[in-house]
Amino acid sequence: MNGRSITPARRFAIAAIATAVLTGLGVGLFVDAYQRLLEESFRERSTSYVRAFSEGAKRWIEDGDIELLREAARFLLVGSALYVRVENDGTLIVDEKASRVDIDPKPVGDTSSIADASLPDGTPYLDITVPLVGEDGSALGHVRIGIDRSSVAVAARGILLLSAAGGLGFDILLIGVLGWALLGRTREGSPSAIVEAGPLRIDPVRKEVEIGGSPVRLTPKQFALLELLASDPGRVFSEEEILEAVWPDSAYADSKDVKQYVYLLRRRLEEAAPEGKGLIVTVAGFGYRLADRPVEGDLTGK
Amino acid sequence: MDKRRSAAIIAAIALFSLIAGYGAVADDRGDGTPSLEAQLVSFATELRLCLSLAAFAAYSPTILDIRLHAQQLVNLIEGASGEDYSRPGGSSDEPVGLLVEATGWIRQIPDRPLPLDKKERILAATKNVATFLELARDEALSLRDERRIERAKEGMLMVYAYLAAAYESPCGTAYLPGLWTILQAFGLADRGEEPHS
Repeated sequence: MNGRSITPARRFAIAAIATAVLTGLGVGLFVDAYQRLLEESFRERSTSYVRAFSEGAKRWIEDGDIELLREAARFLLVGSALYVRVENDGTLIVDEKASRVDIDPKPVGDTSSIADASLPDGTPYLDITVPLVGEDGSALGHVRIGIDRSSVAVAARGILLLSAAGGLGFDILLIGVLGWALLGRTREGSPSAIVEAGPLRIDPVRKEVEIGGSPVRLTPKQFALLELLASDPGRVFSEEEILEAVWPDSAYADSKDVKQYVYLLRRRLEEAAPEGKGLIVTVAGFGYRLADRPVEGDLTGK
Repeated sequence: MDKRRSAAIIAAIALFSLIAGYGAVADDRGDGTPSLEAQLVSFATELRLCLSLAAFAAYSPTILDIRLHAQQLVNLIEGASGEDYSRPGGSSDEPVGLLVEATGWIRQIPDRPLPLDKKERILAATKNVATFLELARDEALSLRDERRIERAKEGMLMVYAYLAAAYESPCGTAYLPGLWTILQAFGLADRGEEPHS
């Protein structure tokens, strides 16, 4: 024991910050991975959707049933499809658009393609082109469909909110458990509440002090003075600081009282055990401190 | 004078009856509705549209798309008079409903001048068509509230399977007669399209 133990409150604060940071990191990674998965799955499904439509389109073109092909195209427009265009032998035979769409996609070739695009109002969509190949392998043209992607963004936002809420709930729960473990148990007088500094052992809950294993009987003021010095061994506490901590409500206490109580405390400690000698060090002109290493001699010679 | 008047009235009635009777024959049923044969060809086209719709609906990019397509299928199967009909758009026409038509044939076919064995075969096939359409409609109805896209895709493939069975898939082993058998019986097989050929 070097006497500079981390207080339970500090331990709790560190644990709470670490929990929050780790949870935030975990939620961020999860949301990012989920968004990628969602996007990938949406692209895959959209392409399959266009391919399935193109299978029907090919049959209808071969049968010359263009009106049925147009009717089928209109069925698509109630959902995610923004426009359906079918080109056969260089002629646009189907050009159906959802009522909210007012665009004229640039011409494309008969090769398979998938491109990200957006409407003038910012709605993102996938522009998917699937070539139409006849039974004999001849090129018939292509099917081109625009699929609204905003549902993916909405789903991703939903997942982000849910994950953030879940992460926050987890944080609160974990910090609560940590608080109970670190602070709650402290109040019950568990070993973590006991302050040890060199040969000194202070139990603030039981108001007990031992030095070198021997009990020391102290008055409340003496105990408060020792507890203050032991709260940060090695640190010099000025007389003003001591007055404020030990006599918080007294307007009459002054430096004489401090000196007197330091004297009495030293005597009690020395009487209890030889290790008590020189435990409280006077730093001339500054104040008092608890020796944070074995004492070889008082700086003031006292 | 009275006799001549009566004769003229009788002649007028006879002429009117003759014209009306001819009109009824020319119009097939006399009430302005298309003939059973015309209905069958139109039915086959609508059923193929439903099959295609179910096929690409199964690959819909979102669950909302599958739900909307499921409602479109319910509309096409039940028709505008159906209790589950809802107009989400997609087609400007109000469909008569494949089920309405199929059940109509079940009533019409017994009155058709057809050989008994043929009539019975057509009737059995029509009942199969109606049953498969009901199953497809019920499955599509259950998909309107589905939340899981994978389950919805499976359900839509089931709708497709029922519709395909209604169309009929002739194969080497025993199979249930459906629309294809009816089209063949009326000599309209070339007006439809053999499924899965």
